[in-house]
Amino acid sequence: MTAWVIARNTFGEAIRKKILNVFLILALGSVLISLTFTFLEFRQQVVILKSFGLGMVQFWGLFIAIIMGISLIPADIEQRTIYTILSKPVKRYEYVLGRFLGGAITLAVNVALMGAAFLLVFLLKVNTRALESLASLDFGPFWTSWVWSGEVPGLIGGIAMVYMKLLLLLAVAVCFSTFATVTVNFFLSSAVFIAGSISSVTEAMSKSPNTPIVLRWLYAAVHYVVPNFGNYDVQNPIIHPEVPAADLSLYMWKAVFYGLAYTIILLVVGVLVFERKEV
Amino acid sequence: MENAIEIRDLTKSFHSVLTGEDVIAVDHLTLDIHRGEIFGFLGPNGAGKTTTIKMLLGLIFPTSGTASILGYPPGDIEVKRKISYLPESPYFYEHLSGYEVLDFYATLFGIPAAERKKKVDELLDLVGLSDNKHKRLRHYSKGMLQRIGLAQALINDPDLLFLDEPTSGLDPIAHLDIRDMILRLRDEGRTVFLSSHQLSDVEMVCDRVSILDRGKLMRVGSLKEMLAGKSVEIRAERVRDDIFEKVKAHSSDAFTVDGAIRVRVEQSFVNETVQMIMQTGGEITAVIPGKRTLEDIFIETVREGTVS
Ligand SMILES: Nc1ncnc2c1ncn2[C@@H]1O[C@H](COP(=O)(O)OP(=O)(O)O)[C@@H](O)[C@H]1O
Ligand SMILES: [Mg+2]
Repeated sequence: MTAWVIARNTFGEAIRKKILNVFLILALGSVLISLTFTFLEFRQQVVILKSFGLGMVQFWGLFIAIIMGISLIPADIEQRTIYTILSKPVKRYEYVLGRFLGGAITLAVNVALMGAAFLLVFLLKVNTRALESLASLDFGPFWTSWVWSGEVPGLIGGIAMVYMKLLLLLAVAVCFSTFATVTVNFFLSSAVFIAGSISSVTEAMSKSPNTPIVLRWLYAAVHYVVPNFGNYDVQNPIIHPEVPAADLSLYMWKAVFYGLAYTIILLVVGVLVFERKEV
Repeated sequence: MENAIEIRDLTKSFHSVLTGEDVIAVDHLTLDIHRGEIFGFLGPNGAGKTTTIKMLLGLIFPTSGTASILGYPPGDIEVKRKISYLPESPYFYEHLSGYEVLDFYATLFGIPAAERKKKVDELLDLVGLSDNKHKRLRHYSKGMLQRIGLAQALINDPDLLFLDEPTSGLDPIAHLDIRDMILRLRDEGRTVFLSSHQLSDVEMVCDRVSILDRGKLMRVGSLKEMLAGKSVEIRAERVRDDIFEKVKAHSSDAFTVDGAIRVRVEQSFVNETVQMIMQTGGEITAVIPGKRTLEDIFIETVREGTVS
């Protein structure tokens, strides 16, 4: 309950600070750019729009997740707003949880808005004929020629996967923010994200006989400790639905549970550190 | 239980990464604060006042020693319902309005919505911010923020308030308002732990005071007893220069202007001084039982500490 009060306030803060609007505009702008690839064949244009659109939602989402994750708790300490909060009947774990939840909600709203903008652009793109009817001011054919693309649910799934990935990154940054400074944390969280995104590389290196043994252990440690962000890269089956995927939705659910489990572990670690933190 | 706060051997040292040395901010502090009193916690800048308060609130942790607040350990969730804290130069969420920030704090106490609205409006009225309640805190002056700080410290009807330098940097009017508010708190039977280096405030409102210097408790006691000095101020006119010189030798504080003098002497020396002046044609204009000011005591205490 108390955590929820803090979460709501965190979300309100993000809305009022309006920094996040900038990312929304940038995301929309970058999706629109992909519409200019008209030199390609139409089918390819749609493929590009899809992969580019999801990529952009993720790209701008990364900024939001990192910026919020590294600053939510340190900003309260730096600005000393934390004194009046922790001296109220708020348990330290409730505060950490509240800050994280508020960040998660903010991230969800932003990803949803960016995703909606992307889906809208996508639908307009595949509805060339409907748009032509609009342009000729002949509204009749607009509705009859409008197609609701069957790919939309898949794209929504893709956006959800992007969110899960960003949520995990948010948890990493919030966890680190209980002991690292903002600057150190920026590089630390980014490094974790990169290492976790090339999980197949770290795994291969840890098994390669050509790698010195110490480095092999190091790669193995990185591979097993760092969460695997690559789990959420489901773009290929979504962008190319004609390619049969074994069981995509089962895979995605597994990835969601994997992410939630990791998030909980990270938050527990963060809370344990924060319990003894001097503010 | 009679004491609101019991502090035993409380010590805090900070390790400086820069110099590699330990700074002892609070040094084996032992102190009792009685229920219902306004306790002045005095000390120059850097004495360790804020550090002590933060330990009592559970924001930072003692290196050694213990403290008990209303019978609870510092930071206990139950005790946090009964106490409140106004930090030094307080900062609040600037994106909120005065109304919203108090509503936020009231929600943290779990006060239900209907009651909350009434309570917040009452408090805004009490601290004189009703007209500005929908303005964002970003646009508040320092004095207004201090008033918000006081309002948020009253939200839970606290039994015990920690006020850290509540009047520093305020204009005289805001200053007076806050002083009145503190007096009202005492009338309502609350305990106030008031940290300050503004001696005039402490002098007007406190029952007991302590003086902290470089982490060490130098003095503690009732303000009345501390101020009751044994010296007496004598004023006289037409005093001969040689007599003034004689008196001055026994005086802690002596001025003369054209034969009119003002001297401060020990109680035991009053009769002799008065006689000397009268027998040599001087005229006594006043004999004032010397009340020392808190400032005298403060400076004396801190100086003694520096010498030893
Ligand atoms: N977090 C900290 N790290 C290192 N030194 C500190 C810290 N907080 C306070 N100090 C030092 O402890 C001493 C007491 O500070 P403080 O309690 O703020 O004094 P006061 O409130 O009486 O002005 C000062 O020398 C200060 O520099
Ligand atoms: Mg201080």
